[in-house]
Amino acid sequence: MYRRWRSLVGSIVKGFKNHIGTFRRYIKLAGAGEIARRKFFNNAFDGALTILGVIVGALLARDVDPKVIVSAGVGASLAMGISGALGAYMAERAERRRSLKELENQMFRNLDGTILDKASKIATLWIAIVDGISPALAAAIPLMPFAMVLAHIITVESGLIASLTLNLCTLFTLGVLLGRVSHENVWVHGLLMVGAGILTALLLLAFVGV
Amino acid sequence: MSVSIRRMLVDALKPRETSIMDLSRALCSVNGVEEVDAIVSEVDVKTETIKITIKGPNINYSDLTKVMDEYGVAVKGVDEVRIVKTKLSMRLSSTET
Repeated sequence: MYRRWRSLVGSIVKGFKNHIGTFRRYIKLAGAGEIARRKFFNNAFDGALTILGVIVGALLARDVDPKVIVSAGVGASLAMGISGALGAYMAERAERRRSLKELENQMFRNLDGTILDKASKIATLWIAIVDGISPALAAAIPLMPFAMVLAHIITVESGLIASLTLNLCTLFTLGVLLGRVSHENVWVHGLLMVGAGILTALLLLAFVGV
Repeated sequence: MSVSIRRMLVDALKPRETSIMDLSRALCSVNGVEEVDAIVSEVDVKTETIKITIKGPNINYSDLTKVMDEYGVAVKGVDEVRIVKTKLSMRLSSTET
């Protein structure tokens, strides 16, 4: 019985590994890794700054209602996610179809069903998923303290401080990751991202706070 | 008595994205193929002209074309071929291996 279970789990793991291997091969073939990474940073930055805008805006209106902040934050990140995913899917699909058609013209053959066609489809889907999930992921982190406020675990003031801190931490982490990608000083990149967040808050204070 | 393909020289066009290593590996895993030599003879913006020499005791040409089709290769032509007459028992034993 134990052996049967072991072989079953082994075959599932092996199958999963094979799928992951094929997926990686297709992503590499389509050159989608770099595009997905760029989309991730771009949209995660969008998500984090949007939530920062929502929180600072509420603070300036002197009405920090956790329910409103969570609803507005979830709504904004959902809308960003859907628009990002659909926009990226349509744009990426159109570009890749055009590129494949150009290649077909040069090769005098149809490339439907080939690994290039499959890689192109998988890459389009992967880029759309990354584009859709990244703003929601970056927005969810600073929204968590307000969810805790709603659950009466912490006070509104603590939630506000925790949320702003987490937001800046998210921006810093994104900067550090960008620094690692570019093989440059991670601290400089992290602080630059935090600076962008502070600048956004200051601009809001200057224009909305008047 | 039957005939089997022992060696083939294929002149083909492949997309630049398709790796010659992956293609050669896939061709070498085809039934009856033992050796694959691939040379890039011409490089274009989006395509590469390749010459592939395939050797084996009994090359399965239809499987070979299926693999080339899957990898987006357009066969321009078969430039050389070596075919030998074999006994059926030998042919079966080579396909089994």
